[in-house]
Amino acid sequence: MCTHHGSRLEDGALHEKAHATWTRRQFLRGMAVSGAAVSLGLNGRTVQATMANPLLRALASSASDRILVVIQLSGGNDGLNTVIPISNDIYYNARPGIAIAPQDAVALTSDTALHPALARLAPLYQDGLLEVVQNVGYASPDLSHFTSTDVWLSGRDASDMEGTGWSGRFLEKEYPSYADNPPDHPIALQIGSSTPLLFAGHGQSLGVTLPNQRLLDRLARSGQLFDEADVPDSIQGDEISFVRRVSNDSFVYAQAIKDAFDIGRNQASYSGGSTLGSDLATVARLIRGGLGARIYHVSIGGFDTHAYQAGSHNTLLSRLGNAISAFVEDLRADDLLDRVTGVTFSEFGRRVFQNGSSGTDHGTSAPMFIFGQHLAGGLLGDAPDLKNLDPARNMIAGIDFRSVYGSLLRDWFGMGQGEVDQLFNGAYPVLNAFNAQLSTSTEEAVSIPHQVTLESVYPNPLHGSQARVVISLNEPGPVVISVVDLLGRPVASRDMGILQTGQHELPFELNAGTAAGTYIVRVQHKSASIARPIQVVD
Amino acid sequence: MLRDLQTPLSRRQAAHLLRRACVSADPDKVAAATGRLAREVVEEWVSEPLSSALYPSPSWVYRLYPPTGASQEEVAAFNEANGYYVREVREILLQDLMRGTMRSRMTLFWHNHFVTDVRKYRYGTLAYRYVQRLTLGALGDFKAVTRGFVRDGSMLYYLDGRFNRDDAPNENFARELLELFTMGPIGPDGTPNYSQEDIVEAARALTGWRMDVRSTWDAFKASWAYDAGLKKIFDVSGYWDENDLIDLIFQERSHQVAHFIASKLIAEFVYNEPDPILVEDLTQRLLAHDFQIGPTLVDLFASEAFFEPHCEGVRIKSPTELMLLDVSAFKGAPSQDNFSFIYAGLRNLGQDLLSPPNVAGWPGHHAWLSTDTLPRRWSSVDTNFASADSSLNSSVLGVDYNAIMEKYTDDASDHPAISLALNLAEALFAIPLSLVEVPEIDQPFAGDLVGQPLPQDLLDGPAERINLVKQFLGTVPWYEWDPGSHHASIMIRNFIVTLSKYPEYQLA
Repeated sequence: MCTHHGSRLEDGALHEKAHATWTRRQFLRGMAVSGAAVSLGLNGRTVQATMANPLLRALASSASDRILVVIQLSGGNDGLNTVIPISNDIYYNARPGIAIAPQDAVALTSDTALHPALARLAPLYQDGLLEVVQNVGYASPDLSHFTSTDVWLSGRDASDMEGTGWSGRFLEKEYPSYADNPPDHPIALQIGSSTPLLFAGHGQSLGVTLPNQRLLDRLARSGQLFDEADVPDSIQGDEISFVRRVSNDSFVYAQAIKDAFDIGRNQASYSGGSTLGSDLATVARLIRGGLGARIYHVSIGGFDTHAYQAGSHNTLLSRLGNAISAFVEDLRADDLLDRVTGVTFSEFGRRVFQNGSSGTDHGTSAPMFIFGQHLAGGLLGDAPDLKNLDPARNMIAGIDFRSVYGSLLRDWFGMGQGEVDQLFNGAYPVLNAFNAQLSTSTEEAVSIPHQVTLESVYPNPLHGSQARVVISLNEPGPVVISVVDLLGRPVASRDMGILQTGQHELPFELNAGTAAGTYIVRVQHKSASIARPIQVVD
Repeated sequence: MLRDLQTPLSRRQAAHLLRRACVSADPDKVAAATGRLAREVVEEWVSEPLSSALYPSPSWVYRLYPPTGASQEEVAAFNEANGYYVREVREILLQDLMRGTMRSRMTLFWHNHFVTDVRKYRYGTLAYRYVQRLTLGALGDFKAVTRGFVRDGSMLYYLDGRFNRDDAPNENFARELLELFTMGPIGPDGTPNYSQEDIVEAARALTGWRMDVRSTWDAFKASWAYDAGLKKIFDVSGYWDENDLIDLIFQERSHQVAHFIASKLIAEFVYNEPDPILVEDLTQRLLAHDFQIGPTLVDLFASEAFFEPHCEGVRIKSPTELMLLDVSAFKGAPSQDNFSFIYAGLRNLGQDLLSPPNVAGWPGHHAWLSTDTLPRRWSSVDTNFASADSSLNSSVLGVDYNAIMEKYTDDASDHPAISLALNLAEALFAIPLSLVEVPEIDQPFAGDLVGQPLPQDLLDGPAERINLVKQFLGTVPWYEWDPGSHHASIMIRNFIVTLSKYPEYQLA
């Protein structure tokens, strides 16, 4: 063979430059999604620096360190047998064989009760740690699992699908420099599932998927995702082992996940041995271990209950109820729940009427559960109207699911209303899922929510020194904009004086010679403060 | 002895043959080769008429460098235009590779053998002629091709042959001609193939060849610069010129040359660490065919040795294979606009066409894959399948989702989604699915298994098949599969991109 004089990849600087040019072009083309499921937890980014300090990590990662846990009930959960209209005769007449009798159900109000299998959720509801959003769906509902799941995951109408997920688009806004300068930990994590769409952004996936617990265990034990040893004893085996080794070495988040898993402990028992329970236990453990991911996604399947549903639906709901209850108890033990909100969804609910085999066929709207510590509480929205159905004899949704997501994005994650509308490609009235004491950031509490909203900072990444900051004020007051680096050192500060109610686009000039890197833009208005990362590039 | 595979090609074998010999995973080509004898199939490929391999000459190939005394503006204008010419040649080469023929695969092989680098020779016309030379000689007479490179413009620039004069000899080309292009330093018996003195004398035989790009793109021999004296090469004395030198190489060192080339062919097409017995067998064939490459390759690609199951999927895909296997497997038809994008992608992954890293070419195999390049490969697949519009029809590779559905779904299958998922997986991996580490997916199949059961052979079969189907369907029950819907394309795209992150996808 020829002599190996070296490799092109060692050309160093030139090569790096070529790479940068390439990714920039890629970015400029504004390509829509690859839908890139990063299954097996692989994520194709090289990490340049390790930010071991959790404080720095939190600062760099976002304006807030809040976490959202999304639980997907796959198959179309029967909403009417989950949150039961116990005083509605239409319900009982339509479901002679499968309706839950009032005396069996767990009453929340005089008209509304939970399925008995969800009994463990009732105390949470009474304590204001769980709320029910009733009759959620979307206009022109699609009854295909397929299409409707995509609608819910993408947050876009079926006719407006582009293959990105609402979480992916949110994270893209939060981490504008993700592709070029990824953090050392995953910002979104899927456990026990493989639904690539949710985390898909425009041209990349922003999340990591671990399809099963055993992979996580292996990762925690050995730092390896792929088995390098279990290969045939042949040159084929040698080569398989080689590609797995390089893959293991390239999985940049292995250490972060392993560390968080090692440090974190569960402080509640997840009895029942369900997969959902152990997945949520893992989520709690990773959160406590300081992983730094902002969104977790877990799922439980089997809700497509077309036949003899009573038994199987009971099992599924008890797994759900027990898992959520244990998760809340776990996080409450050391007040982690302060930073965590959870939400359930299913691609659709089911028919009002039972079918011929004691089951229910695909329907439309259904309730969602939200759990956490800062909730408005109670029942949100009205119970479904079982009298006035759509032409296909399905329920008409009272609340669009994007109103729920909107509340999570705006009130929980502090996203600007304009950005929320853009993300859903339409304006949906935002549900007030959270209580009025919730600040837009956990860093500093403010008494009045949405006193100031940071709509956007642009351009981001910033080339040069002229940035513009768009804010909305609900009341007049003094505004100060400052920029700090990741160590919290002030880089620039401008007093904008007293500004009136309404939207303001404020020019903000960085000092000449500000080095490239990640900074935090902070807007202060009276006692409120909102922050947003910005990437300064050469 | 190389023995022909006597049994008709199975689907797996046909796919293996196409991946290796043609950088193609085109399902139509796989189907066409299945059930036939390998020799028959490869003989057809080798006899592809050369006329079909050539692209019309670009209009600029005779445009000369501005004459002495030309203004700076003229020179600048030429240089600017030349940048576009080079790009066009890259596109021609890429377009040719995308045909997925055995001849185009060999063009790439020879590009990595007779290495020249456009960063050094610069001129689009020389690049075009270089590619043309490789194209025409790809399956032809290795001796003739070697002889041709003595007067190749890109080579005269790249290895400084144009400076090699009687009064100022330059050994650069002479050394590489022996070391890299023909015989290598050490022979099959472990003894040196040539001495330093042979290189000095060979360089003298090669003196006199010049380039003058202001008057012609052809190399010419200037008698004033040629050393006409007596030379002693491989212990044979005479007034040798460049033609004599080539003759001496193939007469005095024929076995060594054949051994060197056979070894390189096997490393490229069978396994990176060639089996010595196989090398010797192919050496004999190359000699018997008098260095005709086509028939030699027929012997190799029709052989039992080539189809040994443990040789499947033991190559690390080169960046070109990474891209082109997907283009062909998914009936891609990248638009001209995306050519520069694909080219940039190849460069980003370490294979800059027309610019190998050095005279030894791309080292290949394990050198392709590192913790630097593997994440780039993952991103590259993301990018290649990304689409600017919601129809997904404008991806870089020009992937055709309708064709994918049609080609990979078994006709008359009761479970089209399942056959599609498994057939796609078979196409994506060069090794059997049983050797791919498919993660278990904890979720049960969505849907009502009582009313609409899954096929029993899937449920009873190996776990990796069930998990692949789950990976494909996600939370969707199989009976909801609707190939006509837009979401079907999204599912297929996500499936391919997900599987491309499995380590085993890197094998070819």
